[in-house]
Amino acid sequence: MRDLFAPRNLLLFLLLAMVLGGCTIWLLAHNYINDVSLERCARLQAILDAPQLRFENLGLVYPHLPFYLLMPFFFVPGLSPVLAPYLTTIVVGAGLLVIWQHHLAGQGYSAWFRAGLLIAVVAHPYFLWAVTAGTVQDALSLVLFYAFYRTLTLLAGERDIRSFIVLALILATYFFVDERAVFLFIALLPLLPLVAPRRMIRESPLSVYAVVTFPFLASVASWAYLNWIFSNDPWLFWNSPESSFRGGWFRAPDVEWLRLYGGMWLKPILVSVGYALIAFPAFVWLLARVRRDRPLFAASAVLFLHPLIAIGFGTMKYFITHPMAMLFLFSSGLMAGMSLLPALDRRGRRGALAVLLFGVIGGWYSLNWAPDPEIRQWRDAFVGEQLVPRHQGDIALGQWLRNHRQATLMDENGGFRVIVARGDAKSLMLSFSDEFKMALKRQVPNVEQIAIPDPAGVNATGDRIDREYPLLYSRGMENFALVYDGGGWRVYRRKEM
Amino acid sequence: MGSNAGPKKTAGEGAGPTVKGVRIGDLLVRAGLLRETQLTEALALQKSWGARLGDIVLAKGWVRPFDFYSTLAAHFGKPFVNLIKEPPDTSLFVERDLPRYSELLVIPWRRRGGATSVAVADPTPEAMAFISDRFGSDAEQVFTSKFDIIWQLQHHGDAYFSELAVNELAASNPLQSARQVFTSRQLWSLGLCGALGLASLSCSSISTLILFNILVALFFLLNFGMRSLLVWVGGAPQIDIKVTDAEVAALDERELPVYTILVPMYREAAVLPKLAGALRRLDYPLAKLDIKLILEEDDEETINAAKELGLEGIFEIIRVPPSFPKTKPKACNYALNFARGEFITIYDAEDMPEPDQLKKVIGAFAKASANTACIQARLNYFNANENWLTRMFTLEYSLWFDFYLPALEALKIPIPLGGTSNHFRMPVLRQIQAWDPYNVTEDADLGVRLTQHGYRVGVVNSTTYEEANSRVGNWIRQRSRWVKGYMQTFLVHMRHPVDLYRSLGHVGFWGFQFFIGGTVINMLVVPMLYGIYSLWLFSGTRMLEVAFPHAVLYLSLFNFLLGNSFLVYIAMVGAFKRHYYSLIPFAVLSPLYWLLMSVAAYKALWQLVHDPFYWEKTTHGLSKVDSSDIMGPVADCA
Repeated sequence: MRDLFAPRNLLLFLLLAMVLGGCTIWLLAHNYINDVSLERCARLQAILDAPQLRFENLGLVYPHLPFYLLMPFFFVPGLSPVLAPYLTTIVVGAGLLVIWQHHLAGQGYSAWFRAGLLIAVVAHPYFLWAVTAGTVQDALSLVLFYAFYRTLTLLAGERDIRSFIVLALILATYFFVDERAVFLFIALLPLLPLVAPRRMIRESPLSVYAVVTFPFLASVASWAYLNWIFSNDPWLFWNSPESSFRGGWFRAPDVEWLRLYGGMWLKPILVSVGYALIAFPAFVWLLARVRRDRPLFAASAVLFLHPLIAIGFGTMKYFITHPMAMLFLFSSGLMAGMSLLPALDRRGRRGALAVLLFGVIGGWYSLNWAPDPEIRQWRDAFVGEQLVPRHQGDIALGQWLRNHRQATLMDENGGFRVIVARGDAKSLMLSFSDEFKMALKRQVPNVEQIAIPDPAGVNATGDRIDREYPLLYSRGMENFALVYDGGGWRVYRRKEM
Repeated sequence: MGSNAGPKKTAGEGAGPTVKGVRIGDLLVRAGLLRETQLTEALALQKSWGARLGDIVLAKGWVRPFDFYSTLAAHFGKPFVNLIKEPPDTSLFVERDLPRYSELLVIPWRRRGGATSVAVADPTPEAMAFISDRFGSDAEQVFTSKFDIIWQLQHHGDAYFSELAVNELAASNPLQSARQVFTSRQLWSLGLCGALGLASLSCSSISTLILFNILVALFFLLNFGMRSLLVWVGGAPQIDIKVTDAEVAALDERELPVYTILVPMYREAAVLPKLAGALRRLDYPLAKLDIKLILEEDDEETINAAKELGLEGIFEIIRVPPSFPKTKPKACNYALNFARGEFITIYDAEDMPEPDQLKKVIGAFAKASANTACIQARLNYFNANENWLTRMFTLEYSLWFDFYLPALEALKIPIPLGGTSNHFRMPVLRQIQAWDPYNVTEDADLGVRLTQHGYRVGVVNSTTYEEANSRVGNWIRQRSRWVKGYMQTFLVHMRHPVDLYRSLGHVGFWGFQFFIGGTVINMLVVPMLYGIYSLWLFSGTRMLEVAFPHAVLYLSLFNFLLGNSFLVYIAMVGAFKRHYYSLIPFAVLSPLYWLLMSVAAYKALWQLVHDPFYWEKTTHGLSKVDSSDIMGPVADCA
């Protein structure tokens, strides 16, 4: 453990952070901004600027751990909060690579070979997406699944009680990191007998499941409990239209993958196998390599099958919008597999590098198939295409509100980009605040100013003000004057009496 | 003890007069006391055990002690005396020498012709040197039975041995004795805290309640953290001193030392035959066992039952004379005066130790550091599946002995020893004045005391199966005693916290605070929290909100949700590690079990004040499960 923090590893960390940072700067310079990360920043900004810091104001329909990781960056003077998710993913990504290199060094590989592996992994678009797109949960997923798959492989071999505990705790933590946890958890269930010690499975399969699944179920139950005490609905995180736990469910018609395969399970798995073979041929190599070592083969088979089954189930439930949303975890699996593989000979090392580099080409190629709009934007920006700045209307309103700082009623669910553009959430009455809830109970809200999106626009989805006052945008309201109109937003201000 | 003896030669051997040089074994055969085949077997055992022939035939019960010792006297050409019929002149007894008499099996008998006649049962060189030193070189030896010597010592030395058993620790090291429950400084501190609390409550009740909530939440958080750490450390594959079967098989039985086994009993006549069977099944040279059945003098029923069983010579009945306090540690201290082993352990009457436990312990001591003074075997229950209570009890024990104790050892935190199956090096046990008779969990106290004296306590991979309490009332009685003992132990060792900190170091000190003190506080506070939660849940009151500002609420929620889930989970893991798969689902009922613990804790608190030394006797033998039907494999996880 002490070796992990050796100067050479710190140096490697800095180098990798610079590389990943360079990629991110390149993306941002080409106008790529991730909507999910932007929304998280806005939510965090909103609760930090609220009179009282309450964790429930973040909303209980998202996993919370990424928020907490972003929080320290908000207190760094001079740093734009928009950059927080990107910096976090860079740190997490570089950290993971250093840990992996540390494990590889333990296998006795030369620095050159390790460098080759490093390049082959970093150049893979699925890995790059996770550590440069600003989606903190993706980067954290890589780390957790690296640990998860390593533990799984250890469990298949050594079968000590600690491996069971670690496996279970990773799953439990994962629920608070990423929405995908539910699907990956379910996908693991049929695979567990492959890696659990045979004797235990024979004697009491239920106990193996109980020990591995209880912490995850406890996490879900705890979250449901928190939903209940803070919102009176234990299943809000699953039922709410804003819930990220439902993934693409509420926008299925707009997502090509879901249009093609939504509601099915086998077909998406078969298609994903195609993706996997193109983007990660190294898995075939890995399975062939360990075919005679039963525990390693079983563990590697699980690494391969686990995300695929999760894709099948996730597509059936209209959750995932692109197989890459799960397949990027193959990077973790491969890294873990490589770190636990018996030391490779010269031929094996060449073979490993070759299949990994093939995977890089295949990975970039596979991005052309039915990409999610977000992934498409990322890919385009990465290859140097200057993206058309999106959401100009939101930015314009944000800048306008920065100069007109009256207390403004606004729903941050549609207006998160506005908050980011404004730079802070001070004097905004947002949906979690008591003032907002009180205001919406009145026929005419007792507020100075109201910002409302066009009910026909994309920002109106789930906007409570639009829902409560459906005619406000088009007709205005008694005693309120229109003071701003543009980019799908209008602002009404109370007339002076 | 006979001319066929092994490595430990008797004084008479080769020097003293014999019956025409006839060996003791042959003498016994010639006298018709031993069959030829038995002699052959005994000689074979002598070779493999390295024990003396006399010890072997007595251990096997082939020859009655009276017959053996009278033959031994003839072998040495000495007179034999029956001390019951011809009692010793007690004026010759020197009180401070009584323990030596017991150790060497020597007793001054009578004055004859200006010289002292000394009754001896085992004429070893040490015994001869002692006789010469104390009674002069002209002292005459007569032979007697070791049981006569023990009986006479108990009969005439009971006041002295009782005094030692009760007051030795309190007299020589009063600070480490629980005879005084609270020191005046502790009372002043408690009073001051109470007064400050009341004053604060009257001045600013809301702030005080908030402060109280913060302290409770932080305590539970740290407690949760501590237990997480223990489970993590305790889950390591090579956590305890593992002695493999191959290592046990490789032990040379000739090198094995004499092992004393103390079995304190009270009104447990019914379990005696099973107990004797379990002890006979121990994979250890019988002739090297020194088993003491420790019975209270007023327990005629068990004494008579033991006599009627006609137990072999390795079993000795120690009658403990009545004195205050009437506790197990006092009885053990009393019996310690008659113990002759190099190592010593305690089993309860219903215990079923794994047969190779003693050998594993010897192996563990050999592997452990030189300052390891005690090795604790794991405890578990043979009647785990009897009812809900036994299941919960087994879950708790599995976690305690398979995770917590090995982790405490690894982290060098004082180990509260389990009630039985703790194996000591005899000299160390004597050096630290053995058990505190005033402490009702003397084992827990002893674990801490050993650590304070610079010794280590290890854990070995061998299990003793006990009977889990299957009735709630009986369980509460037992648990209230344990909790009271923990309170006593905490109070004793916290008399001088700075000294404790110095002797244990920071990890040991804080580990002690949380594992001993924290366990008690946990049990006492839990019902309050359950009550507050129920009030909020069922009444929907918002009155409580003022006492739970957001930060405190979040911390409490974290403890409530994740902390409790984790504690339930580790109970599952404990059962999983021990392969008690059928118990795993019952772990979710742990909160009810915790509540039961709290009932016992409040009873313990009440008793600590009103009857601190009262020993709540646990009734054994209630289980309907046959103890020989031990459930599940004993092995560790996979």
